[in-house]
Amino acid sequence: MNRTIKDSAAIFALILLLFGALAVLAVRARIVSSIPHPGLYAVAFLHPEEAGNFELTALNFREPLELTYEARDSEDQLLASGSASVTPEHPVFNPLASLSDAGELNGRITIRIIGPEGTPRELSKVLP
Amino acid sequence: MALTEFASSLLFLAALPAVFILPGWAVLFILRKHLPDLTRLETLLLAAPVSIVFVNTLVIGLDRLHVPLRPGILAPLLGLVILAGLGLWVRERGAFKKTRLPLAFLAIFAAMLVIKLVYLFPITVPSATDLGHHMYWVKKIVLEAQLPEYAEADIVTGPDGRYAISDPEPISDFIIGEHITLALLQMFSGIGFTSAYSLLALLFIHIATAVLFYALARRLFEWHPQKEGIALLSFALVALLYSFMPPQMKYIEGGVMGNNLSNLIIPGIFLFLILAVRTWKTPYLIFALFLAVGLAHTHHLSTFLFAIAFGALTLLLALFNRPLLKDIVIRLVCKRSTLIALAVGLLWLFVLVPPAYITNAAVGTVIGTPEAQEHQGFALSQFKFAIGEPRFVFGALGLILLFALPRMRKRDTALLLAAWTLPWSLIVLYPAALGISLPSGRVANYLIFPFALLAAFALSLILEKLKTEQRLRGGVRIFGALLIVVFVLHDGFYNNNAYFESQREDSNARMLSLFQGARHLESILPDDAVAMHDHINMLGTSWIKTFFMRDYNFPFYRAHLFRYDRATDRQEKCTLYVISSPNTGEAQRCLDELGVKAVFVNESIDGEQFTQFDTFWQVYSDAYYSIYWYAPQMQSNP
Repeated sequence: MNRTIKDSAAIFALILLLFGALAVLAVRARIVSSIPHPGLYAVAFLHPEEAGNFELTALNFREPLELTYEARDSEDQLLASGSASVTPEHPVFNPLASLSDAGELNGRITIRIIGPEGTPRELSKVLP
Repeated sequence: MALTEFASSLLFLAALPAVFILPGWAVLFILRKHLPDLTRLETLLLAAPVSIVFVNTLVIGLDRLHVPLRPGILAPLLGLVILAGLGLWVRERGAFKKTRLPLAFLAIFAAMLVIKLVYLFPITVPSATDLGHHMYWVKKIVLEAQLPEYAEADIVTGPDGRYAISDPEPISDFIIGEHITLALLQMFSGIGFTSAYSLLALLFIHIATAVLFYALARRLFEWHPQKEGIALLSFALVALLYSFMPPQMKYIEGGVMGNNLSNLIIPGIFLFLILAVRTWKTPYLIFALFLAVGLAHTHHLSTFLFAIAFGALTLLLALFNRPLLKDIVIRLVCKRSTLIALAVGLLWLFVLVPPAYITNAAVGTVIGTPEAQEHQGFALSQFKFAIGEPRFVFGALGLILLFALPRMRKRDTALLLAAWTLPWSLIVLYPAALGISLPSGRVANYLIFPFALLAAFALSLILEKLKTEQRLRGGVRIFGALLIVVFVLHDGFYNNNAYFESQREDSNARMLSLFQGARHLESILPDDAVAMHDHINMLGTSWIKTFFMRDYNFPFYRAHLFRYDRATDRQEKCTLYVISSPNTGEAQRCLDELGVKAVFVNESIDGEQFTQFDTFWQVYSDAYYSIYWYAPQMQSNP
């Protein structure tokens, strides 16, 4: 307690320590928010309001993702399955693209997507 | 050209002192000839509250003159003030008094930074509901380049019995001083609104507050032989002990904006007041007045409590030291410069730019018998817990000593600390008897600061006595000192540990998902459509509105269920019906009559009630949340 330093030196140290700490937190925050964990990816219908349009887009990812999917109708019949490789530049895919009789579908069509980790994602639309 | 993320982070770190320190420092430096008693450290530390009030006053004034609040106008204006100060400083570096500071001061400062860093490091994505609410207004200032009218729309039942959305109605919950500095930081740096910048700014304010207590204690006890020890202990008791409790890190993480700012401004006012009385120079009193007017534009509860403490100080002076009160009135108050400053301050506050709580006469809401549960007052055990046991025990002892020891009670230090402590304690302990209805916990949180000063005084006296008392054996003295230190540290740090463990591990992930979901919802929602979201089972949902910026209350949300039972709280129930039971008749009415198109919910808890009905399509899905699209054309199909 008895050892002292000049106030100018103390003020300099104070500012250095404070901004050092703030810079560390700022960098940490930038890293956390700009490189999302792969398990945080999202999927969404590209055209949510169009009943017959099942084009999907992947969101919130930086590295290419390998997504497997399966589409089922309201009676749990498998309509389509497969996988899609998405990148931030090309995030759009259509799980029902290979279906030749898509126009005859009805009821709730549910698409289940399994990504690198985390819970599966589910999307669904109801056709008349 | 859009700024890169890295550049905006760097600019933010540069903008922090440009908003929070340098304007105030420049003002103090320009007026240095009127403030010759300030030390260099005091100038730096007082620069923070002076900066905040100066920047707020400048921006409020410009807005009243209809000057657009754009960085191209504000940066040169602030830059001019800062450059004037820096220019004078280059010519006259030794204007303020030099002092020497103990190395222990830096050690406490460094320890404080480490503790706060450890707490914030895992939760750097802001998640607090309060902070989200504040950031809506901050973003509104930035987007509209003017100060906002605090108002919100709500769901109402129209004269035809149909649900509708009202026009925005004024709200008194916010005060403009809470939002201006954060808006300027964003304007100057271009940093993202959902970035950690709001948390870092609050942390900066909190740290400035803790250090200011060192300077305040030094001044308050400058007559005492152990003044340095008291100042260091005060600093340690504020900065290190109970570091994570409210009003410390919990208030940073929680985004309690106005209270945080006030916790910095109030000790600034007291430091200027004590300087005015010790030196009999009116400029210090005028600065105290300036900060007090600034406080009134920053936080209503703090202003009310400060007014009570100030009234109590006047009363205590009249009771215990009438000559000092008479001197203050004659030598400080009844001076032309003080009276002019007082008149300008009152004109500014009550005529030119009165805060909403003055125009709405909101003060009436705190007078009367407390009815809300959280306004009922604290038992002594709760009171002790809120302040921290060692701070409470030694603080109470410190107050007793200040009034019991010879020649102490007449001192301005004793009277100021008693005025700062006693009335607020009475409000917390006996609100009904006083007829004041305020949230007891919030008021108790203000008390940690004066109690820390008092506890530091008592601890310093006791430790000094143990060091010098020859009638006790050496072993007894060392044991006694150790016992006290262990008691203080054990309780203070045990508590830190308890708060640290309560942090949510997945807070960052949840918030990043929420931001992504909100961004997507905003991108797909038609301009004339309405969205709703849950609040109970989602974290930090107030941030969703910052992606829309349509209204403070948009998207509408399902609040905690008890709020729908309070007569004066949630008047509408559409948000409850739609999220909790979307296929009922009432929910369908709400959806159709309000034009609801999308609902944003926690999938694992609230998803099922939507997937079982054909009228809802699940159009977005992430690790936590889903967006359901309302498709009423499917209603005929079960």
